[in-house]
Order: sequence, then C-alpha cells, then structure tokens
Amino acid sequence: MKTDDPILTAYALGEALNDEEQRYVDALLASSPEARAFVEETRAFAGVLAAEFKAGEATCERVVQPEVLTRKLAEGRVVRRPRWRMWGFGGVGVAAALVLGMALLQDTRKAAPEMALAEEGKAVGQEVFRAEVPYPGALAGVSAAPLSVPHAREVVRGYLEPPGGMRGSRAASKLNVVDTEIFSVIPGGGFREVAVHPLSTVSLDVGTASYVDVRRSLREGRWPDKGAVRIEELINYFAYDYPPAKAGEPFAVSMEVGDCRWEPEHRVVRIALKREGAQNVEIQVEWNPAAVRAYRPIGAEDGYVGGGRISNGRNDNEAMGAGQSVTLLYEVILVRNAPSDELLSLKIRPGGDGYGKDLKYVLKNRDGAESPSRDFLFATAVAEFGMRLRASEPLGPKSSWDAVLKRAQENIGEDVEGRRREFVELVKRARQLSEEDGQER
Amino acid sequence: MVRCFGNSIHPPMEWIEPVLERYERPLLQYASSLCGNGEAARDVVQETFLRLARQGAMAPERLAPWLYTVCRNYAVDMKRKESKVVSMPTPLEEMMADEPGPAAVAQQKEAAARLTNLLSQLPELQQEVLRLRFQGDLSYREIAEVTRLEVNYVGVLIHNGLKKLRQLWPESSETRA
Repeated sequence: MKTDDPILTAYALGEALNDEEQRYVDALLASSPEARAFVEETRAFAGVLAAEFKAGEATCERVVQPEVLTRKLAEGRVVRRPRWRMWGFGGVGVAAALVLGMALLQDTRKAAPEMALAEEGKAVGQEVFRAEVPYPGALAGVSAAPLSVPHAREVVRGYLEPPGGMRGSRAASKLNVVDTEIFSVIPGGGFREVAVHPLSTVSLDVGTASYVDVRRSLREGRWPDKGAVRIEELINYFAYDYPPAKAGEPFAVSMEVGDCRWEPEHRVVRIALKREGAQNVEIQVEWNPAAVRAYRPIGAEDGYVGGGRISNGRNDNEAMGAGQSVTLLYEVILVRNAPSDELLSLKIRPGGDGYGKDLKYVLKNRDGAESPSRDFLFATAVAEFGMRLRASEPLGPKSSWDAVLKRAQENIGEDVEGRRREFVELVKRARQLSEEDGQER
Repeated sequence: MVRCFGNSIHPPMEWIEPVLERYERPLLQYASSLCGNGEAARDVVQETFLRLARQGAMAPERLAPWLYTVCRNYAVDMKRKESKVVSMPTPLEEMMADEPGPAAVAQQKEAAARLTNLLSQLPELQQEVLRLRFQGDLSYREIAEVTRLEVNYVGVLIHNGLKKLRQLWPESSETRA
C-alpha cells in the first residue's frame, strides 16, 4: 500500500524533508488520492493526539518551585568558573582572570607569558566567555558580580597555581575534540586560598547519576563527555563503612586526612557525613589558615560557596534522606612548618528547635602517622579516575591509570553490592581506551 | 560565620518561570512513563530543573531536547536504582492533583488515564517516541538525539505507532461514550 510509508507520515507531521524525499512525496500526492487522504487523516489524528496529551498534562500537579531552585543553586554555586580550554595551549583562551588570580597571591607563581596576553577564552561548548573579571572581590567569592556576558552568574575563578605543566601536552592534544553540548559547561575546580576563603559549605545534595553516564560510555568503548563527569557523584555511588552517630546527635561525622597519591606535595581530606535522623542541619567547614594554605574540593564544584553562606536559614537538603551518607574529598596544600595541626573544623548547626548548640568536629593532621582507611583509598581512586576522565583539573605528576587501578583493586574490601569490582572493570576499560588510538585521557 | 547566614547572593531566576510553565508537566509525564513511578518522576524532574538552573539559560531551540535528554538520563538512572531497591510504585494517577475540582478536571483525568491505557498497548520505545513527538513537540532529529536512535528508525517508530494507535482509537472512543 502506497500510504504505508514512514516518509508520508513525516511529511504529514511537518518534518523537514530533503529534496529527494520531497520530490517523492510530491509525486505520490499528485498521483494518489489515497496518499492525500492519508496525509489529511494523519494530520487530524496528530492534532487529536496532541490535544489528548495536553489534557493529561493539565491534571498533573507541578512540583518544582523556582525559589527552591534558586536556594539550592545559591547554596551550591555562587562562584563558578567556566571551563577554559587553555592551559599549555599556545596562548589561546587563557583567561585574564588567571593574572588577576595570581596577583592576589602572596607568593606569585611562575606564570606562562601567554597568560597575560589572552583576553578571551572559549568555554567548552559553544559559548564564548569574555574574560572580563569585574574586580578582585569577585575572585574572593564574596560577591558574584555579573560578567558582561549573558551568563550572568558565571564568575571567573583564579587558580592558585597555573594549571598545566605536566598535563599541558595531554590537554592540548585534546583541544580540538568537540564536546557534546549537553553537559558541557560544568567547570573544574581550582584551589582556594584559605586566607581569603576560610569557609566553605558542604552540600549534601549529591546524586549518583553521573556514574551511570560514565559507565555507559566506557562500556560502549568511548570516553564520556567531560561535562557529564561529576566526580562527587562518582565518589558517592559507592557505599562506605562509616561509624554511626554518637547517641543523640543527628549526624555521624567521619573525617580523615591522608596522602595525595597523584600529587605528593598535597594531601587529601575526606569528610563524610551520615544523617541519622531526619533533622534539618546546616553544615560548614572552617579551614584553619595556620595549617592549610589552600584547598580544592574534588568534584563538587557546587559543594562550597565563597563567603561561607550556608542557606537562607531553611534547609532543603532533601537529597540526603535519613540514614544516608555523603562523602566529600578535598585536595589541600598545607602550610609548611605549621604552627597548628588543626586543619579544619566542621560545624553542624541543627535546625528546628531540637538542639540549642552547634556541634563542632576538628580534624587534626598527623602527618601520615595514621594509615589511611580502605574507604579513603578507594574514594581517592574514584576521585582520580574522575579527574582523569574530566581532564580538566590539574592532575599531579604521579597520576596514572595504573595507579588508579591498583588502588581500586587493593581496596575493594567486602563490597557487598559488587560495585567496587564493577568499578575496577571500568578503570580497565578506561585504561584500554587510553591505550587505543592514542586517545589519552 | 553565623552572620553570613541568610544572605541571598542570587537574584531570583525569572527566566526559569516560563520554562517551568511550559515544560514541567510534560516532563513529569514523560518521566513517569519512563520510571513507571510518580514519586521517582517528581525527583527526576526536580533534578532536571536543578541542573538547568545550574547550567543557566540556553538558546530556546536547544532547550527542549536538552531537558528531555537530561530528564531521560536521570529517569534511566532512577529506574536502575529502583530495580535494586524494592519500592512501592506510585501510579500516574497518584501524581495528579486530587483536590475535588470542576467536571472539566474530572474529564481531563479521565482523558489522561485513557491515553495512558492506550499507549500502554504499544511497545515501550514506540510509546516514548510518540510522547516525545506529540507531547514534547520534538522533531524527529531531536527525538533521535534524546533517545540515541537513528532518525530513520524514529520515523518508522512514529509511523507504526500512529498506525497502531489509530486502530485502537475508535474502540476506546466507544467505551468512552
């Protein structure tokens, strides 16, 4: 039957046809009353169907409140850095922000000459961000003054250290790779000077969807879109064995500091929280400038905000239900010969009327005197895996797929759900992919 | 640091209001059809818009495919999780506003249930592309982008889906009356 042809349906529904298809359809319609009738009927039915869908929609109760989004966003991301395609790449797309960022630092590091020259950077994706940093205050994250670009909330964040060096050549080799547009504007993380930003908020709103994206891509034999790799979501895909809360406290807190395996000059801090009751809380990390020079959340670009604001006094961390836990990692640079060993204090401020006092937990540095836990090591393996996939954070000289694989394998532990074993297989896939076709990440 | 609490740094996201107005309900239904669970669909849609809020406004022509893609990814993930954790499914009807309303509302509910019932007789993939085409108003190409299917295959699915649905339709019209 002449009408049983998808091209006629496409035509009836107003799809754009190519010339050949159009000629075919025109000829068919000219010669066949049946085809003309089919098109008419299809259009009429399409109208009915669309109307039925619309009628169904009207009964649906809306759930998303703009003010909740605003609040979550404000909690999660005040200062966001567009991911610049820049480092180690012949002066293209280096943000002026870097210059400004480094000027803020007391010990200005070596800056590549080209950094001062570039005025415009091309963010991953299509948009071009002009790197007009409004004023240093924006870098301090105290106030997010709008850029002169449509992305008004985007504020360029300076790096403590010029990223690149050992990673430059690898990043450069991929600069002509076009990211898929869907997830492409998520930025990487930079170090923040504790003297300027002593406070950071902890976001409990961590999902795990990114892990699924990454797993699917790797299983299909291709690199995941970098923007789709959210390291905090990868880390939190796994279960960790954290001690329960002390009696009467709404939260169990577990903190640990250990060696940074990819950058021996740095250390890694792990903060884990487990909610025991459904009580509302506000959480804040206060870094001690006497012990920590700078910190960088690993993943969780949203996981902290400059200025130390936690919330509007209302809690909407619904994402973390009772009994759930969240694990956050920070890469930190310590003060040499520090006068204090207190790295940070984590403050929990119970909301509602239940508690009158804030809870405070202090993490002390023991200079590696304690052996790192299995969970710590495994989480850092996942973090390094994510950093390599994103290829955006400054990775240290010791990073390698082999190192990730080894650390993951050695710290599988009990693995009741089999997720860690599955992860080991994914790392192997990634390593294999990096060996094929010179596709290195 | 306590004094910092309560400062609002963000301006309200005025731009997101019309987007919610236009897309939230269709996405809820789409998510629900994928998750088979109203509660999960609500979470999925919430996450989708949160991601949009983070991402910021984008070109209008990219918005719909973007939203449906992100929504789909979350829904697929959610479904995978649900399959491991035994959960109580919330049927679509429970998502619907249940305050007693005028007769028109009752009719709309009825229509929605009827359509859902009709669609349920088609293969899942056919249901999904029909929904994306006639509810989401996406083009074949955009549907291909969202579902990662070939454009031609999308065309075939829609063609066959419509045909099947038209066959089913008169029958249900009678039961309606």
